[in-house]
Amino acid sequence: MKPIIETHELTKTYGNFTAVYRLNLHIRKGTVYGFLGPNGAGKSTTMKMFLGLVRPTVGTFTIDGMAYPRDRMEILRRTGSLIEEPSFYGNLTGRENLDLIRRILGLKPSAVDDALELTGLTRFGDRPAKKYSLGMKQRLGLAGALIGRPPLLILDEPTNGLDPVGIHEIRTLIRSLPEKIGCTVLVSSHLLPEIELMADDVGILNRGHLLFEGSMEELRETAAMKGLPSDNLEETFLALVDEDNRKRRPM
Amino acid sequence: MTIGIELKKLKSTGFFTSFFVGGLVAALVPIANTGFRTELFTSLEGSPLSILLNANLQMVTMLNQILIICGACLMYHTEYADHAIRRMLTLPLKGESLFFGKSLLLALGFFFLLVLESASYAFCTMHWFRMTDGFLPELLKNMGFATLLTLPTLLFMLLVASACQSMWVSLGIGVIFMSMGTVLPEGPFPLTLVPFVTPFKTLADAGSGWAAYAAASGAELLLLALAACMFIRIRRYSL
Repeated sequence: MKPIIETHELTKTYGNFTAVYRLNLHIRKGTVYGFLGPNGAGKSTTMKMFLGLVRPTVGTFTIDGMAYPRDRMEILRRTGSLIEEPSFYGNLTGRENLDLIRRILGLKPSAVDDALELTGLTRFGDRPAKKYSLGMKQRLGLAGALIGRPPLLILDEPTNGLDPVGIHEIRTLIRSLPEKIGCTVLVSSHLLPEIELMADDVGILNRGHLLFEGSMEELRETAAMKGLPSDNLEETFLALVDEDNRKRRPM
Repeated sequence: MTIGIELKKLKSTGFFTSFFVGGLVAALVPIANTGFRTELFTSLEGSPLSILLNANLQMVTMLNQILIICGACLMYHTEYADHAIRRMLTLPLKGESLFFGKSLLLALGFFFLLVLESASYAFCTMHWFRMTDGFLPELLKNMGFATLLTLPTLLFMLLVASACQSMWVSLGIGVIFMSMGTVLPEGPFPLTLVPFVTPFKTLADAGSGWAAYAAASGAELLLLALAACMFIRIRRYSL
C-alpha cells in the first residue's frame, strides 16, 4: 500500500544549524504514526513543513499523492492540524471559532456540532474561548483539527495541558479515529507510554536524523538485535537516543 | 466570503463601538466649533464648506487617524493574541486575502466616519450658513479627495500592525507617525506625501497641485499593496 505521507531526503537548515536532515518517512494510510524525539529533535519542524509553515531547504514530500508546494492548498484542505499550542480567537466562543474554520473549508454547518461532540466540548461551545481552561483550549484545538473529519491529522503534542482523565480520553479518541472516520494520524508526543498505547508505527528522531521507523514489533526486534532494552518503549527510546548521541559527539 | 469571516473575527473586540462612538465625536467637532464661534465663521469670506473644513479638518483628521490606528491594532491583536493567525495559515486560505479583507473592512469603517462627518458639515451649513446648489458636489469632491489621501495611511497602518506581534508596538508606531503628521503638512512637497501627513491636506490647500497629490497617493497605495504581498509571503515561514 502506498504511504499517505512520503518524504524524500527532506532537510531543513537554519544557517549552520540543521533541524531536519535527509528525512525519509513513510506513513501508512489508516494508521496512527507516533513521532518521537527529544526536545529540538525536529518533530515540529517536520510537521510544519507538511503544513507549509516552514519551507524545506532540500528534499520533497508528497501527501496522498499530492506534491508540495504545487498542491499546497489541496493538502491543507485535506489535513487537520494542531501545532505546538492551540490557536484560536479568544474573543469568540468555541462554536464561533469552529464555524470560522468550517466556512473556510466550505463544510456543512453540522460539522461544528460534530467536532464539538467528538472532543467533548458540546456543553462549553457557547463560552468565549479565552475563558476556557488549558485542557479545554487543547480540546478546541483538536476540534479545529477534526472538523470535517479530514483524511489526515497532524497533531503536535495533543495531550499537552490535559489532566490524566483528559489524556486518557484524547488517547482513546486518537486511537479510534482510523476506524471511526478512516483517517491517518501523525502524532508527536514526549509521553512515550502514550505513544506506545496509541501508535501502530513509530518514527524516532534525534538531532534531525531518523533513527528508526517501523512498527512497535519491529522496534522491539531491532532493539533486541542491537542488544538494547526492548521491554518497554521508554527504555528502548532512551537507549537509541543515547547511542546516537554518543556516535555524534564531537571527538 | 473573506469579508464575512473578517467581520465575524471582530466580534467583541470593541472595533464597532470605537468606530461608532469615535465617529460621533468627530462629527460633533464641527457642530460644537461652529456653535461656539458662529459670528467668527459666518463673517468669513468663501464657501461654507471651505470655512468649515479649514476650521475643523485638523481635529477631525486626527480623530480619524486615531480610529484607523486603533482599528488596525485591534484587527491584528485578535490574530496574534492566541496565535489564531497560525491556525489561519494552516487552512486553505491565501494570506493576502486575510490582509486585504481587513483593509477593506477598515476602509469601510473609515467611510462610515466620512459619512457622519459629511452629515455634520451639511448640518452646520444648513443651520448657520446658507445651503447652495454647489454644496453637495463640493462636499463629494472633498470627501473623495480625503478618501484617496487617507487610504495609503490605512494600508500602511495595517502593514505595521500585521508586522508587529505586540499590539503596543504597532500602536506606538502609529502614534509616532500621527504626531509627525501634525507637524509636516507645511513642509516641502515630498515630505507631505508621507502616510499620516497627506490626509491633513484639503482640496483647497492642495490647489492646482491636487492631481499630484492624487497621483502620489495612488502610487503609494500600489507600493504598499505590493509590500504587503511580499511581506505576507515571508511572514508565513516565520510564525
